Formats: sequence, structure tokens, C-alpha cells
Amino acid sequence: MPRLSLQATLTLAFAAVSVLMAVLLSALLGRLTADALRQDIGTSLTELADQMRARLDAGLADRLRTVELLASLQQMRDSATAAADNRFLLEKLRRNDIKIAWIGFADVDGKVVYSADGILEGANVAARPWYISGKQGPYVGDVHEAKLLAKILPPPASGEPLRFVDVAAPVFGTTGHLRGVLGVHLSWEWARDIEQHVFTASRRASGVETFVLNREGQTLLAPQGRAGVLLPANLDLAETSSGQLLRWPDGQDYVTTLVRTRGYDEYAGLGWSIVSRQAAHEAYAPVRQMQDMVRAIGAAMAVLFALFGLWLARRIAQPLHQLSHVADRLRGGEMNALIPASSTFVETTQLAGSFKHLVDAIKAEQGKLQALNESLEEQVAKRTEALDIANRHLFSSLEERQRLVARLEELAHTDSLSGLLNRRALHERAAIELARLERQPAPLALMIFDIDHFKRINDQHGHEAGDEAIRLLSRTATGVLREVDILARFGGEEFVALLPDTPLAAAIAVAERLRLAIAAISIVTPAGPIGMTASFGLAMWEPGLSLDILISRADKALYGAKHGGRNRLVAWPDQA
Amino acid sequence: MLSLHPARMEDAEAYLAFFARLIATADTMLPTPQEYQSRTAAEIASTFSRFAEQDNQLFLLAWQDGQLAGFITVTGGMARKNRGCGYIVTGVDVAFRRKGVGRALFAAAEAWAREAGFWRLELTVMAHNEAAQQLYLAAGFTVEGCKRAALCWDDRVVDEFLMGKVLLHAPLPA
Repeated sequence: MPRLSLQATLTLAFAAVSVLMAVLLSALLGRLTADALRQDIGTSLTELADQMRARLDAGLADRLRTVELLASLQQMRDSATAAADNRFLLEKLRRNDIKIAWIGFADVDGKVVYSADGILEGANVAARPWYISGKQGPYVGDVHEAKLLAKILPPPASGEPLRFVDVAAPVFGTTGHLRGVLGVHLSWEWARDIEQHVFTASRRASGVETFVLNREGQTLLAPQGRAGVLLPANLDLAETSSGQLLRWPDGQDYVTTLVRTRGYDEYAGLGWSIVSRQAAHEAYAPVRQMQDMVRAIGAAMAVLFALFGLWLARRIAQPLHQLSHVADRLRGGEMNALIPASSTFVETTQLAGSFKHLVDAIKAEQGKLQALNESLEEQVAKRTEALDIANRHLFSSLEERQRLVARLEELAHTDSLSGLLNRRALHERAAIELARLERQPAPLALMIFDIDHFKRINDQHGHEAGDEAIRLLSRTATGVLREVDILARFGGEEFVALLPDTPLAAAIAVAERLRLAIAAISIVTPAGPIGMTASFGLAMWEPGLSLDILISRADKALYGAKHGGRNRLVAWPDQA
Repeated sequence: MLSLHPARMEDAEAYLAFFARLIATADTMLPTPQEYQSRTAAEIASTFSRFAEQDNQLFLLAWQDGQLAGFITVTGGMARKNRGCGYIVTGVDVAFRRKGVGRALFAAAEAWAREAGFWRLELTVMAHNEAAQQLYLAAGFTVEGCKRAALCWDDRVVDEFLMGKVLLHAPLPA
């Protein structure tokens, strides 16, 4: 199972709870308010229908009273009153009440004696219901279509047939006998006016329709174009109903109310039913709007709560993240990583505190361990250094000793004045060379030379000059001879050179160059420059010949050179 | 004490420093400091070694109390006809001038040349270098001719005197 982060879980939980709350609340609120609202809608529709009912009742009652009042007037009862006077009175009345389409008086024979504007005067109305009933007493007759007047009066603007409600009352003479009937035709347009007045244009625009039915259920008044509309079969005309939701024969649901007329004072009413309806989808539009709004608010609240949940989850998770991050850094060796000390929540602050104490304890332990290690390292380093020093000392002592030995050997083999090999060293080197030659024969020349009249230099210019002469001769000789040649100061002013792999002719050439080079040597003293020459004796080695014999042969040649006048070379066995 | 002896390989280091100092302080030698810069002690040592191997070439050094004070070279010809005609090049450290170093060098070189059978020594000197000419005249050299416009010195063309000294009028056949 994949692990959920605390943050995600909290956010999801908040979102889920807030969505659930929003759904439940909006459903409950929607239901409660919708019921209340529906009731309100039904009630207001019923109230309107009742207003219309009241007006219809009051209107008819008023007219009835007016007609009765007229019929009881002396002027009307008195047969002596001129017809013109009565006609004038009726005309006045008609001007006052524009809904009165016709008003007139018919005598006991049913003949119209006078009427407003003289309409139908002379006509016989004895067969008309209002006349028949009016003879008996005050009468209000139900709606009927115009018969005689249809041809005289203009049809209504609605295009419907001209219809009337009749009101009539008997007129008794001053002696108490019946003189005739006073009748009024009230234009049925009057009912429509009331309907239009009560149900305002905006009501009608939102689909409120009102029907007026007579006792038999026939439609007396219907909205324009709804004249033939069938009523729902289950609508009981005897029962008032308020805001019932009914299915009408056209298949649609309507909020329907029914109010019955009940008359006014002594007027008993005609038993009409006023049915108002409004299509359910229009009537309940506010309910739907309200429900939509509740849902929208619910959704908004859900989002808001989810966001709050997210924010809260972050607030909760952030210190934990920080702690985890710091722990990672600590593990990475960053011991100075700072632990966040405080946060909004007590729990995370406590956690951070505990964590900090733990890390501090670990740090302290590490510090101790490190100190211990360092002191150990220091001790080891000290010991190592001491050993190193001892070793170096030992080595340097050894080297010193080796150098000393070498130096002693060198001193033992070196002539201090000239820096050349001494006599003993010459013997050693010569022995090695001769041994080599015994195994691998090769020419070897031995040359003895000494400075001419050296004793004179010493005597005349001092030992210092003599020593310098020895030094200069040594340098000159090393410059002329090869590296492989062995040169030694043999004693006093006498030098010996061993020239390996050198035949006689080459040895003579070397000796001659050396003789010339010595001629270039000069020591300048306050007394003047001292030049010098040297004499050379040369002998070639032969197999089996010892060094001593070789030297003595060269020495003999040197002796010859000296005797021959010095500054020259003699090779054994030549004698000068 | 002033001592003179033929150069040997061990003297190369001292000579390199000496000659560099000499041409830096006196403009009488052929090479300029820039031209001499790339020389090494090893090259000098091999030059010394070449001189020592020939019997008609001399590279002589003069030391004053252990310090190299001057030098002189004598170079004989390669052919039998000119092998005894030695061409001289010489130089003395500015600090050791007028102290007899030059004179000693010439004397020793001449002694060696006579021993080696040279019949003539010669050298060239810039016409305006009168101090040097004084030394050469004192050493017995004479001006034998003028090499006109021989050198470019200090951005101008200068004459050079040819000076010579005859050591022996009838050289022996070698």
C-alpha cells in the first residue's frame, strides 16, 4: 500500500468532510426551504384568487344594491314621473359605471319603457330570465351571451362574444302594486378587468392563468386563447384548494388553486369557481434558483474548506519536513545544522525540542570521542616524531661517518697541496691498472716529469711561490690529460702520470702538449713574473713489467732529459 | 698573487661569469650580452678541452688571489703555412685593469708561442680603443694596417687596426 503523506491525507480529509457537509447541508436546506417556499407560492396564488373572488362578489353585490336603491326611489315608483326624467337618471348612472352596458325599465307587460340612451326602448323583454326573475324580487343572473343588444352595441376589444351579467329588481308603484322591472346588463368585460387588475402583468408574464367557472363547470372567463382548456378531472369544484400541484389534461403539472364565490350581505353569490394555475416549472423557479444557490454556496464552502485544510496541513507538515531535512543534513555530517526551535503547534515544538536534545547529546558524545581520538593521534604523532628524529639522527650519524671515512680515504690518497693522488694512491691505482692489463694487454705509458730549477723558485721567491708553482702545474696537467689518465704527485716537484691505452707516439704528443702548456704558466710576483719549464721521462709498459721497474725506466729517461738541458722529453730507452 | 695557467674544464663556470661581466661592463669584445646569454658552462668546458688538445692553441687564464681577472687566447692556423701565425683575443676584467694583468697575459702567451714555434702573433683592435693599443704597443706589437669600416659598433661603422709582432724571422721547417 502506497504511503500517504500527512499533508495529502489531511488535505483530502478536509476536502472530503467539507464536500460531505456541503452536500448534506444543501440537500437539507434545499428540502426545508423548498417546502416552505412552495407553500408560500401556493398561498400567494390563493390569496390573489381570493381577492378576485372578493371583488367579483362585491361588484355584483354593489350593482344589486344600486339597482334596488334605484327601484325604491320615489321618482321611479311614481307613475306620474316623466319617462325623460327617469331616462336621464339611468343615463347618469350608466355614465358613472362604464361597465353597465345597458340599463332600462320594462313595464308589467315586458315592454321597455325607457332606458339609458333609449336603447331597446319599445322592445319586449318579457321572455328574458332577468325580467321573469326580476318580477319576483332582486335578481342577479348568470353570464349569458347578448341577444338583442348584440346587434346594437360594439363587440368587446378581446374579440369574444358580447356577454352580460344581469342584475334586476322589481319596481313597485306608490300604491304597492308591481309597476315593472328595472334591469341592468353588466358587461362581462368587467370580470376580465378585475382579473387583469388583480393578476398584474408580471404575474401573467410568469404564467399565472385564471379561469372563472360557473356552477356547472362551464368556463365563464379564461385567459386569451385558453377558452377551450379542459380542467383536470380530479379538480373538485365544490372544494376550495390552495396551491395543489395538479396534472392538467395537457400533461403538464400546474400549481392550482380554487376559490368559490360566496356572495356579499344578502346577495348569495352565483357559485362561481375561480381557478388559478401556474406551471410548476415557472412557479417553482425561485425554488430551483434557491436550490442552485445553496448548492453553489455549498461547493464554494467545500473549496474554501479544502483550501483551509491544505493550508492547515502545510502548517502541520512543515515543521516535520524541516526536522526531517535537518536530520538528513546531520546524517550528511553537517553537525552545525540548525534545528528549528518553535512552530505553531505545541506537539511539533516538543518534537523539535526532543530532537534537539538528542542531537546535542550525540554531538557531545562525538566531541568526546573526537577529543579522545585527537589526543591519541597527538601521542602517536609525538612518538612518531621522536622516532623520526632518532632515525634521522642515526642516519645522519651514519652518513656523517661514511663521509668521514670517504674523506679520510680521500685524504689518505690525496696530496693536500696539489689535490692530486699521492704516491701511495698511485701505487694502488697502478696495481689495479696493471692487473687489468695482465688479463687484457694494451699499451700503457708512464710519464715522470718535474719542474726545472724548482729549488731556485723556492729559494728566490719563497715557499709560497713554490707551492703556487706546484698548484699551477697540477691544474695545467689535469687540463691536458684525460679523465682516464692517472696523475699523482710523486714527491717534491716530481709528478707521475699513467696513460692507459696510449701507445708511444700518442704519449709523446701528450707530453709535448703538456710541456708547452707548462711554458704558458706564469706567477707574477712583486719581483717580476716567474715562468717555468718541466722535463719529462717516458717509459712504455711491457707485459710482466712491475710498476717499480716501469717507474725506474721512466726515471732514467727523465734523468736523460735533465742532462740533455731540461725542458724536454726523453723516452726510455733513449738517453737524451 | 697573480697566477696564469692554461684553462681546464673545471674553470668553465668561473669563466662564464667572468666573460658575461666583462662584456656587460666594457664594450670592447665582439659578442654583445644578448648574444652571449645562451652560452652554457658545458659549451665553455668543451671549448677549453678543444684548446688543450691542440699544440698550437692556447687558452690562458689569469687569476688574482683566486678571482678570474683576465684571459688571452692564441690560435694558430690549421695549415702548415700558417700554423705558427697566432691570432690573439684578450680581455681583462674592468676591476683588474691597469694592474699588470694584461702585460702578464701577453708575456706568458708570447713565452708559450715562442716555445711552440710560432713566428708571428697578431691581433685586431678598434681604432678608438687607445687603452688597449697602449698595452699592445707595450707588448711589442705594431700597427700594421687599418681595416677600414671593419666593424659596426654602437650603431656606426668603425675602423679596426691590425697589429702584429714577429717572433722569428726564419721559422724552422716542422
